[in-house]
Amino acid sequence: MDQIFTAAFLVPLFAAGVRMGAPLVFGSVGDVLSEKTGVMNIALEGEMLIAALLSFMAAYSSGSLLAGVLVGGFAGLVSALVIAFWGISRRQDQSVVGIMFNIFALGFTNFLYRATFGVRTDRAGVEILATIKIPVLSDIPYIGEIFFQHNILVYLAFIGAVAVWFVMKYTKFGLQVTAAGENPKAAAAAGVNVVRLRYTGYMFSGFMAGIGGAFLSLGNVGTFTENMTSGRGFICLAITILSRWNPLFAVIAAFLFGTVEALQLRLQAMGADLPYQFFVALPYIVTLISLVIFGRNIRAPKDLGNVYNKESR
Amino acid sequence: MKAIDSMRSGALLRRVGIVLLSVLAALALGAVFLIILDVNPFTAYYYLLVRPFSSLNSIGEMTIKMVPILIVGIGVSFTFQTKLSNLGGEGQICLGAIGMTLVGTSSFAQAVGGWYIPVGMLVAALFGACWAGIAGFFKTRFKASEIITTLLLNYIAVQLLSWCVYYPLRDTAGNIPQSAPVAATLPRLIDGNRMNLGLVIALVCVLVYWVVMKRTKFGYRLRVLGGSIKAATFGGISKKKYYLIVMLISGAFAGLAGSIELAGTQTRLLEGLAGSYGFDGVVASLLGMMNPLGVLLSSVLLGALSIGAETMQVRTGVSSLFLNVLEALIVLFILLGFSFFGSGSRRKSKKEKEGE
Repeated sequence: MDQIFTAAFLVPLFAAGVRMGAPLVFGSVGDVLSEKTGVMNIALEGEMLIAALLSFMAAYSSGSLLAGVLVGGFAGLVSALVIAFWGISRRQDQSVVGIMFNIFALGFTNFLYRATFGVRTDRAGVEILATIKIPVLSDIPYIGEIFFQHNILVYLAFIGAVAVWFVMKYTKFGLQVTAAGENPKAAAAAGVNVVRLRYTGYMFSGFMAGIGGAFLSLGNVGTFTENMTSGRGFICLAITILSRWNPLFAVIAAFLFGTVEALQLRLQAMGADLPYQFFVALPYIVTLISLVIFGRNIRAPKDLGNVYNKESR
Repeated sequence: MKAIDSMRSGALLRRVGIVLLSVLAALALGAVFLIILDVNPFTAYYYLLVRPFSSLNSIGEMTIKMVPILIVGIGVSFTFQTKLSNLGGEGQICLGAIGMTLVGTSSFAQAVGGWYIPVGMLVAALFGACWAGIAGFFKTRFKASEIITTLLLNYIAVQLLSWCVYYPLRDTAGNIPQSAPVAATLPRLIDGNRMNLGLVIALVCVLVYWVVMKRTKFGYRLRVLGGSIKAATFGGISKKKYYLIVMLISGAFAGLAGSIELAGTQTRLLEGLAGSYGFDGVVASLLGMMNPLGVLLSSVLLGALSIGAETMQVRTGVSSLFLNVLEALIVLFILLGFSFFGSGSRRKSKKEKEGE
């Protein structure tokens, strides 16, 4: 225990928590906006996974990490567009469509990766995104190392969250988003195009998930491994609920979950006296317990998950 | 599960037509993927679709794959009937398998031999039910989305199973992380064929599902709860109670499936035992539109495809998980087909609105 409560342990731990939380920020902040319009992005997991692979393939073949990240975002966006066609335009059950997309993504990435790279032990790899030290701020003791010595996507995750928060709170668009998620019929009566708004929200969520997926392959390890999202998409959905649909709270929750992940890796490496399976399961256990403890009596957007039917007024 | 409402309306012929066309469309799109990656789709589909039916032996293998899918699918169907989703099949299978191993490797099993099996199955069903019950309890008590909780529980159960085979249940005789073999395996139905008693149990499960849904007050209430029957009186039905019960039932089925996979096929507890049976069950239930016969036929199809996918992987190098792609596409195309051609899809959505 003495080993844990030292700056030498805690500062790198929190820094890693911020880094590992960043993909969760992308996933959950996008989902917050989407859920505010009334559509839950159950397919987050699949979108992230597909983006993780395609961004890696793009970076690997072009040699450009920027191209990789952009392809990741685009892959997420296109995935979301396809799902939105089923869930919004064709008014199919959003959870069924999302679950099916996740199954599709698991098979598709596995199939595509093996067909492209074959089954071999030496994994193809790329450089990971470079660390950018923010001048001045990164020199602050402790705080600098925790928050200001990361790759570009970590900063973008934070900026993105603040931007979404601002848009939701202070713009007319934000007001329309809330209206579409609370009472789409009233919103439509007031001249809001609910379908277009839900498409926008959902595709934004897909784009963000795509960047989050690109972060997993290009920001952390520089390679793709099968099913590398391993449930992060579902953790993002839980974060959305825990944040009470507030992007800023989502950032805090994501960084906490990132820290849990970083902690379990460190405890494993330290050879703590518990079986490693406990540590691997820890992030999921923590998510489950926080959902129960902090997730009760939270009021979701009223029309969340419902099919919007323009014709049936 | 509003989507399923529209899937269940319309004439039988039209429904079958939409399903068949969806399967063809999924295969066609899958073929495009294969061609892009320079694989001959005809070769791949031969191993995937034709080979599984080519001999009695492979039909036996097919039933072995089909049984867990079918039993999980029946369990999932119970939850879909009430518009709840149990996506935790994988985790509940793990728990069932752990339960079966505990009984099957105990000194009790050594003493009674094959007679431990019914006891083991009961324990397995209980374990599976408890695991699903966690999600059910969180749903009814804390309103936690069962979609998220059942999925999270999968990841935890997989680690729990891993821990079991590494530590308390590990067979110390070998170096591989796996349990000791169970005292006896499920009896086989035909000599020289791996088809086992699990098949009979699975068919009984289908029968039980059919009887419960169509012939009992309980089943009727589930259907009222799910909105597939218009009922004037909703009174007297405690939603929470039924949500919890239905999750327990569904978990029990998945646990039973785990016990059959363990005692019939694997004979030892080992990592990865649940395979993709959990989600295959969900697909079977959706594909069969929660109709007993439909789920049965879908499970036969998925079981055959699973065997075919393994052969395909060996012969052509295409990942066996390519099957996931096809499964998902089939269900998605069916949904799409019904949204365009399912009679009464508009009428249904109107009714739905009145109900709310």
